[in-house]
Amino acid sequence: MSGNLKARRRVAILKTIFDTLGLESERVHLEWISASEGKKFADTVKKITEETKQQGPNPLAKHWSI
Amino acid sequence: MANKWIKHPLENRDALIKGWLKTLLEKEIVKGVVVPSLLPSGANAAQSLITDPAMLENTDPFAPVMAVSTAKIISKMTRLKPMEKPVAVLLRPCELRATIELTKLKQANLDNLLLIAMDCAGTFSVKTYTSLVQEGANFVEIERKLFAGEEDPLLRPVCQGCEWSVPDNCDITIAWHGLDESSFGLIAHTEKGEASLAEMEGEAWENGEEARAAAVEKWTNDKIAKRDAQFAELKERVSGVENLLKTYAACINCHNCMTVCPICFCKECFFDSAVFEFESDRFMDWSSARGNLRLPTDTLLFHIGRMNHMSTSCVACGMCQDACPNDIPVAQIFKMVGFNTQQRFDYVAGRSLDEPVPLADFREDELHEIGGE
Ligand code: SF4
Ligand code: SF4
Repeated sequence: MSGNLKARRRVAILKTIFDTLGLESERVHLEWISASEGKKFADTVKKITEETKQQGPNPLAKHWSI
Repeated sequence: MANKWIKHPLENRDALIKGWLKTLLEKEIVKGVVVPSLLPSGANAAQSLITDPAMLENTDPFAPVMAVSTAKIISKMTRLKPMEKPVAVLLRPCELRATIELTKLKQANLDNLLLIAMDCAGTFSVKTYTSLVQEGANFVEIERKLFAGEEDPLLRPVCQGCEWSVPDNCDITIAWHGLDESSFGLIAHTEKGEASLAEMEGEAWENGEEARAAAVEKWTNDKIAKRDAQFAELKERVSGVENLLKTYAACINCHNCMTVCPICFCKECFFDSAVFEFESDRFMDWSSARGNLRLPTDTLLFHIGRMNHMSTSCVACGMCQDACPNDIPVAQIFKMVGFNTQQRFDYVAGRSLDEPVPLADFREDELHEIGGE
């Protein structure tokens, strides 16, 4: 449990960095899914895929000079 | 709680402080003193560990330069083994805050250290300091102007917008705020501090506490306004993909910024580890994806990775920016990012020994907006 809570802090930090630097923090996701929750895993991946499609290609990915 | 407030004429400050440190050594109240010494060439003032009282002659306690963060020095000297005998250390507020962070991160040990910290109006980069020395600059006069609120574009950029002029968590403060321009003060906050000042005469600093609180408040508010203006200007300049790539275009991946950072204590940085060694095919694949690949790879990733790892403990000391060969505003960016990441946890790097560093701590009831659950 504490691992999850620490990871949530890491994600919060990363999102804050992205927001400060004007990068898209919506592209950083956190979900807690246990090994037995196969359906939740599938649904989450689907949701993230859809969101990512809507957001369009990652603006960083098109650069060769990052 | 120990509390001693005395004041002295400013013109005697160097001699008095040196004399006091000398007495501490001679009477064996401390066995060593860490204080900036003017190097024999006269071109730089560097921290030095003095054990022979006679060597205090060459010191320059108030030289407005930080060649290396004293926090890094304390960590080097105490990480493997705490000091066995008392040692006095002279620090600026950001060095003290970094020392507090390193102590919490188990990279420094405060046992037997007598922490003496000064009000700080800012420092110059080594380069600027050296040229000011060559020009024969009057540093007390410069300091006087800075404390009077005058701006000095030569000051390191983070110092220009630094709201942490006053040290906390020390045994003794060498004070400027709250006095007229012709005096300096000494305040003992702990019993250890008070004992070390036992031999120091001085005029009682009447009503010091009130006068100082008012002066500090005014100074801090002015600097916060300056800092916010810097943040706004910086955000405009660096944020967004295009601006970030422009900002870090001059980065040569030398990792100087990390090497000199007092908070970056890892023996081997993740970015220098085997994780970032790749077989030739990988480079070809990456390049094929876009037809080109900047080399060395992962310039921006290094900076974001470093922010992710340590911005919650960044004390905005500016060392990284001084070390950058290509004048990238690294420290200003880290300060702005660190301000936001620390605020997220209601944390201020170096504020207190009792608050755990954000990455070592967690709560069930927080950050619900982030997801999970
Ligand atoms: S990142 Fe830069 S400003 Fe922040 S603590 Fe490290 S050296 Fe100082
Ligand atoms: S010191 Fe400057 S050039 Fe070197 S890695 Fe850091 S930002 Fe890049």
